[in-house]
Amino acid sequence: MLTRLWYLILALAVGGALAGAFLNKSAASREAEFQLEEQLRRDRIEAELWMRLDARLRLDALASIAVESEVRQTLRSSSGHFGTPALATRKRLSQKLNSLNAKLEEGKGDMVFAVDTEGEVVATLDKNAMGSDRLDKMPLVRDALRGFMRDDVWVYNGEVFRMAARPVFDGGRYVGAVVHGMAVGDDLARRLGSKLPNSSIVFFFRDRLIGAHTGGATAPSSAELKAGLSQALASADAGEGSVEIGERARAIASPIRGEAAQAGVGYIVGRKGSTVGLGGLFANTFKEDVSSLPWLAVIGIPLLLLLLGLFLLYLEHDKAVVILRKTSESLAKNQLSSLPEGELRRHYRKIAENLNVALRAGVGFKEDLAERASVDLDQILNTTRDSADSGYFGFAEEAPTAKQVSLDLEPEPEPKPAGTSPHMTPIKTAPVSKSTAVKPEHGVPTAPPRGTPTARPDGTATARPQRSPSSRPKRASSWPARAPSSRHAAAATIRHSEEHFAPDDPPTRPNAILDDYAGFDDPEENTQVKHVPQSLLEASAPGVQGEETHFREVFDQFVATQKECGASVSGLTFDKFVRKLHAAREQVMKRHDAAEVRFTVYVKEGRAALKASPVKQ
Amino acid sequence: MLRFSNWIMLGAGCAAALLVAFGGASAESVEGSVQGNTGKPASSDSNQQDYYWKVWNGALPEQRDKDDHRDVLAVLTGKFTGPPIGCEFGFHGGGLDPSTIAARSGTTVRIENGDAFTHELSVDGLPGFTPLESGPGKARAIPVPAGGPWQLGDRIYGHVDGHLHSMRELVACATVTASGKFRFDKVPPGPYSLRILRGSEQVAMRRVTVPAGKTLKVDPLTMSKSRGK
Repeated sequence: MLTRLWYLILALAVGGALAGAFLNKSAASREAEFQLEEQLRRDRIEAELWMRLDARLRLDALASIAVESEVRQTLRSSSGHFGTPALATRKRLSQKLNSLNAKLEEGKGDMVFAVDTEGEVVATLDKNAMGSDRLDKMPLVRDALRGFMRDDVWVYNGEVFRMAARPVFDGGRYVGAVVHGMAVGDDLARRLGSKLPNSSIVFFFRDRLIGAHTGGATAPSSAELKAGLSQALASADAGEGSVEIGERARAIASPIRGEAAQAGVGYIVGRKGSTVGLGGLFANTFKEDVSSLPWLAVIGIPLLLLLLGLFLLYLEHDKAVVILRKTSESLAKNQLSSLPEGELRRHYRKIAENLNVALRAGVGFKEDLAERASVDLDQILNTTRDSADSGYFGFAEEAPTAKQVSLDLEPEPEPKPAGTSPHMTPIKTAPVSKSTAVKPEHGVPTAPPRGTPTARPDGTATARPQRSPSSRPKRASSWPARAPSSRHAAAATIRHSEEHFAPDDPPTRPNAILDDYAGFDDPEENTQVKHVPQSLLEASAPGVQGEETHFREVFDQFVATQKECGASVSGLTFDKFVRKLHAAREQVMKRHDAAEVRFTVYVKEGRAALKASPVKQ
Repeated sequence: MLRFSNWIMLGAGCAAALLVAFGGASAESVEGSVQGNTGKPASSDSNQQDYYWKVWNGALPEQRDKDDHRDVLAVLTGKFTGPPIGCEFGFHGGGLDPSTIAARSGTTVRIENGDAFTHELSVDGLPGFTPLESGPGKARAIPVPAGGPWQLGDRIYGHVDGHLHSMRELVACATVTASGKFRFDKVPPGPYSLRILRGSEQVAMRRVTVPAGKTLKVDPLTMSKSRGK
């Protein structure tokens, strides 16, 4: 029960740990998403600051153009009441602007204008057509003409430009302004992307991408950013943060500060988040985290719980199993007569109780019982059973089988086949001859000729004659006469001679004779035919010899066999032996409803053993 | 009984009246100027040292310069059924020039994009005047119903603004230069109302009769103080 409770606790602990791990994973995913959103907000701020700084740098760079004397003089001549300068002068100024613009290197403008105080364009780069001769209404130019430096974003001739303008001084007054513009495209996206590693940036003009930069494999593609453009813009209009544009990818949109922001010009910064799995929970674990763990609790508590679990397991199971193992060994050695029920608990106690009941009742194997139920009384009387739980004693419960009978008909003892039972080794094997063979039943056509060993067609002797149960040798009608050789040292070797089979044999006399189990190819078949020694049979005959004599004879044979086997007989007294025999006899008689029991001695596992054969008269 | 000379004078008068009535062959010019209030309120704020800083940062409203008449439009109204004279407007230098425009009710006004910027002019509340992209060099004709005036806006450029006046008897339009002068050309002789529009308001009005065969010079008009911007 405690063990089951322990398993429940263990299951709950594992479940709790798993739930905690998954909860932690969810929390980590949320944290990663939150971090991604924060990163995108920072990206947007950084992009704004970078573009402002870049505009400032361009304004500073424009100073090199604004202070150029030719620029100042031409603009002054164009401003006010002096009128527009001659075309040649304007062309010359345009060439000058080209050369000055080329010196700006990275800040080189895609278009540069020199405007007079009325906002009229006096000169521009060669590549810029004079599409507009006036810029006076543009706030950028107007402010520059009033002395302010500022930047802006224009949609000029269908393209988006980041503009910067600064005034031109000459003679202590404003004479015009220099206006500088850089197209918004891939180059700007690349420059900005270099400041925001692992991010992708696209510039858009309404629903059209005008510049893109992808920050590598860990960043979302420009197509993904374009797909999420409307969603990101809606989020930006609502004043919200980033939006999800794909699996683990988010983007944030922002309009470009300036007049053209109303034209739908802006940029999107996108990033991909990292995957947070159960293993990813430890991705950001540092050595300091590991060292700060309460190792005493981390290791000690599970260890204590483990020891507690093992202790409970020992109490409930291992201890009982050990007791059962040791007591069963003692039981096998006949040092105990029953299992210790009191030392066991619950199921093991029940098992021990049941086994003890079975031991006391001398219960055999179930298959034997089934087989036994099909035999008649004569068969029972002629069988013995090797019972391991009977200590020195075995009980004859099985009827002799045809094969066993046939073994007795073999003319000569042959080498044991591989299937010979290792447990049942006869002490001696008497020579088998025709004269000692069992006389078969007369009139049974299937029976082999008397005294003729069953042989296979190839002439080899066989221990398994093909006989039907009906061909089993019938019991003798009378007691056999005492054989002269019935006083053999080992009763197991006693065999009836043919002449001992008299028609007046008592019905309890089996026709089968004792054999040495040769030919048993089934090691599990413990049933063997044991023939009651002639001397014992004679001794048990009424008026011939008393029970005491039979027991004395069996005792002597047992002691002799033990000595032959090299086993000790110390402590074995006749009285003790007789008590055993009495107990066994009572049990066998009760079980088989037999009138008498005869004991035989044989060798089992290198030791002398006894078998009890019920005799039903 | 009338004398022959009298008959000749009567015939000439009738002919002149017919010419005026049907916008006939005679077309004269009208010149004039505006002066007075430019809309810039006299304020001590402008004397502050940080005036421009405040304007720049939005603390003070941006005031137009004294000679800024970009939002002033002079129009003639009267009995004339021909198409409005000189009432064509457009973008120049990055904005509407002038920012106040007028059109005869039930007709269309044509706005041409004369600069390199793309504009999307629109009028809130005026059906058919939705913000459509108008690239450089392109023009847009917008139907003008009765009513107004309406405020114009540019969806791309926030600095672009203006007002559209719908006038039932619009005859001619003239822009006002930085010096405040204006001039109507090809105006048929006859009686008209000379109106000065600034933003959403009419800031001056005078009845004039354009004589045949010579240019009418109108005395300077003084613009009233604008209630608006």
